[in-house]
Amino acid sequence: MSANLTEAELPQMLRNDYRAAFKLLYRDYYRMVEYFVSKNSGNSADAEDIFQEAMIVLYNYSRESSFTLSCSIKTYIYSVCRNLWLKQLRKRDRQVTVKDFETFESIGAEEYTEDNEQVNLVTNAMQQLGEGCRKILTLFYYHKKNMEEIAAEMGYTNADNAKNQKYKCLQHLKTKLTTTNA
Amino acid sequence: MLNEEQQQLIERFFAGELSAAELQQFKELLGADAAFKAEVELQRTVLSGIQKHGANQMRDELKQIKAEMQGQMQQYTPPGKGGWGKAFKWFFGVGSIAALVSALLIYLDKFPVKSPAIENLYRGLHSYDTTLQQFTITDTIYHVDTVYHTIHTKKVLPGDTITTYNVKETRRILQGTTDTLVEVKRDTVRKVYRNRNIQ
Repeated sequence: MSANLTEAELPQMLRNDYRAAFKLLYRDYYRMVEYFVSKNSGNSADAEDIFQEAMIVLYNYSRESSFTLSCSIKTYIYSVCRNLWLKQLRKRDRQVTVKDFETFESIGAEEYTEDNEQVNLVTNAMQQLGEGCRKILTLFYYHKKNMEEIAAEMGYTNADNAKNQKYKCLQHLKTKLTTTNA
Repeated sequence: MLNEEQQQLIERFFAGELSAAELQQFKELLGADAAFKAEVELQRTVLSGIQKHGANQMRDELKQIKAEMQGQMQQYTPPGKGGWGKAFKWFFGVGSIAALVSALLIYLDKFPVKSPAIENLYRGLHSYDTTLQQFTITDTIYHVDTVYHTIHTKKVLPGDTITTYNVKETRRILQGTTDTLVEVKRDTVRKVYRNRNIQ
């Protein structure tokens, strides 16, 4: 596997090949987070969840074209995980503090998605769509791929074709949702 | 039912693409048109649902990635915890090398290969303590080195030097000989020295 990922390389790698980027991040920083969580009232399952959520936070930020790291990758990951774990601990005890082992920065670690009944209805409705519709909607709205990229990945003739298909799938999803609600 | 232009306006609103004028138009519609407002709320919910679906898929992928990388994850030592931790790791690092060396010695004993190089190699493998001795190689020999858990062979040339740490073992190995001493270390061979200092 390749050498250590640099701060300059990470945002681009997340956009172009997020699986490869995550492999490197797991390789280089997972044990650090596991150690931190274990020394702060957590277990290995907690560490796995926290690291996973941090990766999702990182991926969400990376899809903004302006995203760059203002600190080292290590500090970034430690800071996000620290925030996420502190939030978890404070659900149990508002006064809790954590033992730190690395320097950290104040990096927001808000959960990206709402978690309510309506949103859950949408995720259920997504499962009822065909795989093609599910994929095109996820590529466009979650992975923030453009129509050219989607057309190439899904084998559409051109970007306009992909755009039309995306529109149809969105309408199909909305119809399923409003039918469920009716 | 909204027309296509209004649908596009809503889509572009959530994508953050509206100009100031378009944003104003959007706000006016939101206040004046109940159907438009309902569609905006529906779009908001749908987009949140797609985000959640995407994140759930990502979590599944991350689980697979973690399982795949389990054996490659780098160990973590917190800053300032080097002392005993490092000594502990060095000890066991040396121990694992010693185990590999022992396995190699057993192999060589069971399947002896008659060559000066292997003989020299055999004589050179030993354990460690902190006493530093220096030897100079006089003949070309082949040296077995261990790098993590892979064994490489490395040719050691006359004039090379190597450091050994065990006086007792060194004396035993070099007794009555002027042979070179070959050091088995965790990383690449430094130098091989000829026996000058052992009494």
